[in-house]
Amino acid sequence: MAQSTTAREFALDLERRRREAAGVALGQSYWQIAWRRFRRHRLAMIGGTVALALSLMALLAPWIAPHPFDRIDLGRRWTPPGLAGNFFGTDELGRDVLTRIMYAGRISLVVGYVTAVSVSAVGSLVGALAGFYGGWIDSALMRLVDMLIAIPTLPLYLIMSALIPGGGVGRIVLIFTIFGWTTVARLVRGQILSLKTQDFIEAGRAMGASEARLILRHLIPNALAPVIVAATLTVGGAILTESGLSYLGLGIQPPIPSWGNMLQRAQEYLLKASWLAVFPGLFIFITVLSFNFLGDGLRDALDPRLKT
Amino acid sequence: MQRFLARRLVHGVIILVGLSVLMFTLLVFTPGDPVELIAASNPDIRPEDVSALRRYYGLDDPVYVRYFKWARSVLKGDLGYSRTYGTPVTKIIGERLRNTLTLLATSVAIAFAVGVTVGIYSALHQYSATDYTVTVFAFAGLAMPVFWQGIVFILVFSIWLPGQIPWFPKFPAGGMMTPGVAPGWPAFWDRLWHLVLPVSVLATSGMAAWTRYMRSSMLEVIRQDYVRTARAKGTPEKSVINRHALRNALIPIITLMALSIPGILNGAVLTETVFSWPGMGLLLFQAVLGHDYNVAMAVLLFLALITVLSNLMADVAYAVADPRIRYD
Amino acid sequence: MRNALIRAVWAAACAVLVAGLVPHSGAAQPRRETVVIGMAQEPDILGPFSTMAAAGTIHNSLFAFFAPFNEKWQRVPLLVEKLPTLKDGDWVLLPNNKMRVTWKIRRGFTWHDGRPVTALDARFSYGMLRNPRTPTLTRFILNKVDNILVPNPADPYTMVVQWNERWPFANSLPYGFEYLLPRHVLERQYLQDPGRLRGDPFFRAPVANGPYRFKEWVPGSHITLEAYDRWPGEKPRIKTITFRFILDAVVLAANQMAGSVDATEINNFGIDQMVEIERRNPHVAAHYTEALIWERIEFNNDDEWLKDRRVRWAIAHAIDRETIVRTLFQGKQPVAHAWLPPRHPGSNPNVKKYAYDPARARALLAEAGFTMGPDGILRDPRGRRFEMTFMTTAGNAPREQTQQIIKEQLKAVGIEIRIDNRPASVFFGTIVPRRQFPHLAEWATLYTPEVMPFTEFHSSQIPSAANNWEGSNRRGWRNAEVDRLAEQIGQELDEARRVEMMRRLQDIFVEELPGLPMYFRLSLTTSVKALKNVKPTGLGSFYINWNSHEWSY
Repeated sequence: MAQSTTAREFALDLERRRREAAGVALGQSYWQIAWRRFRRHRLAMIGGTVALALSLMALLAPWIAPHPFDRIDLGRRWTPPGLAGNFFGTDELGRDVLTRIMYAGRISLVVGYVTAVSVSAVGSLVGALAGFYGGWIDSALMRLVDMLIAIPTLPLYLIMSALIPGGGVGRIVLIFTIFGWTTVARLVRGQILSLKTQDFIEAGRAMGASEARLILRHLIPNALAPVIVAATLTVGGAILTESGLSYLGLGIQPPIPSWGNMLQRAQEYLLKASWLAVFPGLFIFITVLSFNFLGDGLRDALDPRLKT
Repeated sequence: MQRFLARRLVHGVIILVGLSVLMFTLLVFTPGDPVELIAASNPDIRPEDVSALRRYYGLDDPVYVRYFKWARSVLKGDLGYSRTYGTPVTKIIGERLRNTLTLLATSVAIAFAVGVTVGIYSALHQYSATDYTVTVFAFAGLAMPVFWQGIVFILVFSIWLPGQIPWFPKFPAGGMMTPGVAPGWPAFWDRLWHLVLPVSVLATSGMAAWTRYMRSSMLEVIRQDYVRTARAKGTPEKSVINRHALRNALIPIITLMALSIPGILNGAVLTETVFSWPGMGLLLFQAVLGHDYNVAMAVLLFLALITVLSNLMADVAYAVADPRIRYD
Repeated sequence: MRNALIRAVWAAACAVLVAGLVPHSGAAQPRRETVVIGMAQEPDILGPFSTMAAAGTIHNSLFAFFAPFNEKWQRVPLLVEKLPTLKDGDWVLLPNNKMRVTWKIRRGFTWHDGRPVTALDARFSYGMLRNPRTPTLTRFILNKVDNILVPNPADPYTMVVQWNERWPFANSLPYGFEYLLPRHVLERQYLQDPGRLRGDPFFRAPVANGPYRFKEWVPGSHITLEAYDRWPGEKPRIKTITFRFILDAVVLAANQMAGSVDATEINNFGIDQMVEIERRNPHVAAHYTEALIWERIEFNNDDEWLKDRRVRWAIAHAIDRETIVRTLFQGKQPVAHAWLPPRHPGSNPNVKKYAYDPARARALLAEAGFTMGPDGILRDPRGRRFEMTFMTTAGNAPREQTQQIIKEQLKAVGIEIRIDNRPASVFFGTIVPRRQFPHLAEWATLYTPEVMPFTEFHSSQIPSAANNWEGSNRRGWRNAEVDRLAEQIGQELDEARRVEMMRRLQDIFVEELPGLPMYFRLSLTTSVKALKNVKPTGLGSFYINWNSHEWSY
């Protein structure tokens, strides 16, 4: 997925850090410090604010959208953007583009958020299992990871989207999760491997804590920081990838609107009604950008080595 | 070291075999095989025609039989025939590989050169205005849908600008060459000319990514003790950067190079589709959609092989370049 | 080392930039004797085993057809001396419904390697295509032919086709295929293993017999043909034809606007794109050619609600087809009232017309026992919400836009529509042939002027597991009179009587309305105005270049 570029950059950081055996236990003060550091990161603050605003816009679409969803008005087709009624213009059926952008945002952002959550959940679980148990479980899971990162994902998505019926959010999220969990799994496994050798786990084990308890209560929370960052970057990545799939005709299917399929559909009218393509493209761009800034800021903030 | 290499080789083989099983199964279970599609478009095709065609294309055997048939012939060095094109798979891939390599090599080279240079500069001037600008541009490059950028480039550079400005050169709107162009130098320039737009699209995100990688890797290195020591010893700044910092900062980039191959190919699929560039990405896309199993399998496994091998080479390079790394 | 590498990389980058400054040599050279045709599809292979329209286009210039359809939809003998007729006695009816048709191949045609084209090639082609071990797409007509004989060894240009059943178009084509293949090139490989014939190099670089000969195929890029110097007719004035494959329709349109291609075919253009091309490049003519593509919404006639023809009528009255056609297609594609367009001789101009009349629709639904629910959606007599599923191919813009409008219009009379679209491969692969659409489904069928109604309208042709999914009567329509007509039309050799029965069949269809005709799609092609004599036919196997040997600038 497209998020892997940034996520990989981040993985690189961690690999290095693991070698240096950073030894900072996470506590209350850690999150406070992180927040303070995050607030100073200007681009990340902007990114976070924009992401929040976009999410609110999508969430409140039924209340704030200027027109009813998918109201067709054949008398107002191809209205260019302007101040009279349709700020972003209308499309080939006379539907208000701004309204559609808001509703499409719900779909696109849900794809992003849900993918991020499910990818993190699956990835953390697999990574934790591999890291904690080691041995053949670890080898088997890591071979699986190696397998999945050895081939370009787009053809896999193509095959899967032909295989899984339906054209909604569920299918896309499922496909993204099946092939997208590897980055998080590697991160978590790495974290767990380094944490496992540290004192508080040894202590827990000596005190007779069960393995499940150790994984759930101690290891995963400790490995949370990199997962949060990776998840943030996944949001943008999923939105971007959905648009690519839509271009190939395999993303979210109309009539469910997504920024990706709006953009795809607008191609045909690029010279005639460029606004149909400009706005969805712009929203994808801004969303991905702001989530990437946010992720970047989170990484800096959550990185214990940079503590001042 | 040898034991490590042997183990990685075994892993590589496991990965390739596992992948082949996975891909084959997925491809075979994809609904709507080509025969059904043909039948749908032609009202004269009768059910008996359909079953005859299915028999002809070997679509009736159970999956595992088909897999083992395929695997046996591949092990014998025969990748089979493309069902769509009726030609040996090796021949098709050979033709496409050259085209993809032209496109990829040019854009990766440009992306890498620009990205690394800018990344270094950005790292050495951290928090400067330039650094901020570079960062914003790099992030922007990563946030742009590839296909979208391609189509906008075509409309702007092939139609809109040449229409507005009389002397503006008209860039070709897709394709790899002008049919019928004289061989030799005219053909060479013609191909280069056709390369400009797809390469700039494909290089954009690459450039952005390498800038980010290089910046963070460089930042990491110049904080290290040995760089400080070198500086303290009075080594000239230029030499500190070139000799000590740069070399070490480039080491992790090697690994990333290997890891980024599948990602670059994702971009190539989209770029090749937009620009009708007859490369592997486009071939793979069409093979998957057209249920041309032999071609799809061959391309996918070829890509996997490249990734596995380059990972292996990166490990070796890593081990050679960085004596701190030891393998058990 | 590193510096050297980086320097090399920069050098490469600079080379590309320099190349960018060199003026484009391709555009400057005169192209007066060449034509570049852009297509959004690349053929798989060439020849009769191909499954793609792109191959058919190339065949139009590459092969000499027996008797191609011209732009007036009449067959004009080309490779044969004449079309046999009952009157002339070269088409003879025999007892037991058998027939004998005699054809003469015109002398002077040669294969592109210089060997003469004879009836022996036709006999070979027939046997090879009919052999069940070759991947022939359909043997529907081939199987009606019993044998082909070349009775007189001294006259290898005359052949006798023996039919084992009646077929009204036995005088259109000798055995159902438009062209023949060279025996001397293919026979050896065929006799060795018919199952591997498709892999023969011939199908990548055919030795054909048309006005243009194969020159090169650069996969993924283009196929080039050049004029054949021994073509027996008037010498083609266009010396080379190149078919360029540009798969993205938007990019293909950009190429036509920029003038990098001279014509387009199999282009996936929409009406809007056609208009835009003409507007942006005044040197380009957009051809909107009447075709035989019937776009309709099929009802599932086994559905409890749709069984009632009043419900089907109501839906027809509730949908404003005129407005849909006017807004989505700029009025260029006409509303269909039955399944054959006005240009087809079997078309019936007097069929009943269902005007847009929501009040009438509401009345019909009330008559059928539907009552209005509190949410503005009707309830059937058993109290269930009137909600129907509407399926079509995903990603097809005009269909999806049509659906949106229909959804709104049906809602206005109290019918809720749930849209469920599938990718074309799934829709045409299983949904349509297995009748897996519960209520409504929209698609198109491409007919030929020689269409026979049997497979689409006869009640034995309703696909089911029991009949191995045979037939195209996917709506599941049963009508005794239609069955009788469909059987008779297939046997009737007199065109006037056939036409009469076709019209009657359409009357019944429109009266019963088992499916709703939407519009007749046009065949959309473009060519530069400077290119003379371009006459698109709009028919399936006859593409813009069917008469490319008559083109000139």
